[in-house]
Amino acid sequence: MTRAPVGTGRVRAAVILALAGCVALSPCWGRESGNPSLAAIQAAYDAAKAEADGNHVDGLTIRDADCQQDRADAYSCQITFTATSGAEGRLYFDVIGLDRERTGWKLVSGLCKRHD
Amino acid sequence: MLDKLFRCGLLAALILAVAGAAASATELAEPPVFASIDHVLDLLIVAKPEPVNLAPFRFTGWVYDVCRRPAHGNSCPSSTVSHYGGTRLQLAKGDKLKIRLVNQLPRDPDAKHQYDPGFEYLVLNPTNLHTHGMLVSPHFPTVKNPTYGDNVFVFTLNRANGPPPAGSYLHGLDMRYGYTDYEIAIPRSHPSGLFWFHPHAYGITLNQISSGLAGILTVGEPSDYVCTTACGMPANIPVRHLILKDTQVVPPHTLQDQEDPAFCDYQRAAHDPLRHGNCLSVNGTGTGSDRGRWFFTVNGQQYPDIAVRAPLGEIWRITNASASVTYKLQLTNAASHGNMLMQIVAIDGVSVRPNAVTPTCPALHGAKSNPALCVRELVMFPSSRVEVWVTYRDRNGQPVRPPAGAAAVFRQAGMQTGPGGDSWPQVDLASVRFTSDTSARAASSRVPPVLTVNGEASALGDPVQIAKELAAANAAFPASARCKPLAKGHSRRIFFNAIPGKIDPTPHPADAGDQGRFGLGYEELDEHGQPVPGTFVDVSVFDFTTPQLCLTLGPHNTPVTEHWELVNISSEDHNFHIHQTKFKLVSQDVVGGTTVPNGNGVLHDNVPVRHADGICNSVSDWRAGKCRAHPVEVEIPFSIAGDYVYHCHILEHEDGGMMAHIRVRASP
Repeated sequence: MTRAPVGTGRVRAAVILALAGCVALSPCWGRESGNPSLAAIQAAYDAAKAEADGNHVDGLTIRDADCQQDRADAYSCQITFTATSGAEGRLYFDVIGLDRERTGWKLVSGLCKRHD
Repeated sequence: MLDKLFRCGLLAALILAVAGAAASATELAEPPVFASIDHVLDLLIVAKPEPVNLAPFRFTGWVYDVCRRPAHGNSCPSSTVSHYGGTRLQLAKGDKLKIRLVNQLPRDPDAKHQYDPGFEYLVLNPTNLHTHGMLVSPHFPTVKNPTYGDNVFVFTLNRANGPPPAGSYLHGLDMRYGYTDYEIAIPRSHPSGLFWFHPHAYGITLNQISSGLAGILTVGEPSDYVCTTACGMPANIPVRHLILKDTQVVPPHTLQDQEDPAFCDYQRAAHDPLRHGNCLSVNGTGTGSDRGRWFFTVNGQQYPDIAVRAPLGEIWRITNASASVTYKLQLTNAASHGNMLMQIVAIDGVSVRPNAVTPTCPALHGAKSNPALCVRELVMFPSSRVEVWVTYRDRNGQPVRPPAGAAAVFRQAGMQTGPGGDSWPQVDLASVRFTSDTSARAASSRVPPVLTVNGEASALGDPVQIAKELAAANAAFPASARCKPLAKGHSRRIFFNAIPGKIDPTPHPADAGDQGRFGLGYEELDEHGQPVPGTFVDVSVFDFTTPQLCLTLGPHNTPVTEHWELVNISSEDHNFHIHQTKFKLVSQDVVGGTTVPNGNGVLHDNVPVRHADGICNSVSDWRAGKCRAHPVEVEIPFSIAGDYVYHCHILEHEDGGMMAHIRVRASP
């Protein structure tokens, strides 16, 4: 019989606690949890733009986001971004909607054509 | 016994105090003032719902909480008095106005344009801020300066109202949650005068202004342009600010923010009570509580008393802060029932400089050597401001000490804006009492028949200094290959019309009688006044993303002046307003609603454009002569680069699409 090293029990308990916390905080196991990150928002915009539905222009870079959960899997964020077509240093703001899906985040409103 | 006397005395004192309070409550109060300190006015302005008392109703209006910007947070102290009537922001030339605008407005289920496709988000009640009439930059935020100038291409949402509906793709403007910071530098060469601030959120501006969101801005003092001691007048002529607002309330206590132009009959019915600050709705019967009221207030007060000490009189700075109402203002002598003479000192924030060809005040000794503009009524379209000298005059127009009991009524005489237009009702706005000024100051001064006004209008016709001062801000809008100067000798023509056949798929009840859609059209004219092929844009509704016009400043970003012809082919009056500049009328001028020869001594930021005679559904109809328009020709100096707008300031029309985006860029 091999005894577990001293402290292993504590580690196991911590892992179990962490997993339980993840399950509790994540509404849908297996998806990203919490607010969307800047990278996630950028990816959602890139994906929406690739659909070429005419709603989005090229060259937007997300710099900042302040998000909140509105409903299960639905978030809205105020974002700050720059545009390659904009004047130097120009900041843009928008309020966007994002849905969390199994494969990641989907942009459902906002990030549209801007002034140049 | 003594105790009884004491109690009676106390009771009498209490009654007198209450009576005194009641009496003083009817006196017109000045708007609360926030003045700049060390050339900076740094404010927190919170747009929020607030109880408003306008007897017999107590309803929830939308007001601006205004306070000096606290070190932390986005709330004003609880002691802040929200003022439905409007606040005055007092500035000086060269000051910086810093505002954090916070949106705490509720959702607005009444806003009719939320039913327009793509505008569903309007139910969230977004707002913003425009400093109307000011010659300031509309800059956008940058990494170095994340504030906005006088820029209407940004909307602020109240996060508590929820997110925009899925599928909202709002092109061409910034959208923010919670608050927006504005920083507006006022050039040192900016005119002294009266301006105002109000929301400018396309599609819902009418609702917000009708609910109470508006205040005034003043730059400098009237003594900057009215000659006083050097002209035999006391140093300080009393100055009064009058903010005209209107609000419709229906039983039991509900503000109707989608205003109905036909809420009241044009004239009072014989069995209805006097219209002292309000008129009864056409819906309902009798004078009971089942009838709504359309309130017409001065500084938020219903039919206040105004005491004017004569012969010195007062300068009244009047702002039409109504969303849609055009006022025809008269000061009617209670004894003679004649309309009293008023001298116009300033129009739209710029003091006038009349010259010999401008009609002078009639029958006044010495008037020839001292040109002045006098009127007996003032037609003020929405957004216009007029400053007038009011005093008691004898039958020859000479300022005199008033007889005992001299009084007048300050009234909206009613205004009809064409066969397809509106009939703005007759309402008495305030009672005026003239008292004799027996002060030593008045006794030692001989009051001249007209004030001498050293107006700034002529100098500002070519605002070179303003362009110099805004050089850095203008440079932030670099030249664009798509923006070109107008060819020499060419001019622009702007068409105003309703848009027939534009059917709202889900009409709102307030749309009764029209489809609620209006637009502007455009064409360039050559040196012979003929349309330049390929430039015509038919009358269409506002589009944030597509500038109707794109032009550049002159060499080295000097001002460039353009000639525009405003052609209204609809059957109702409109008024033309443009941001970031002032203009003069070319062939004739309109002063207080009266057409007079142009003396180049008056600048406007809005001007009425009379309805056409006959029926034109389109520009083609107009070209075919099916209606006769009454074009207004204006010269507009552009000295400020940026993206801004021109539009009809009857906000039912503006919200309905009668607005266009103009882009002005730095010179190459």
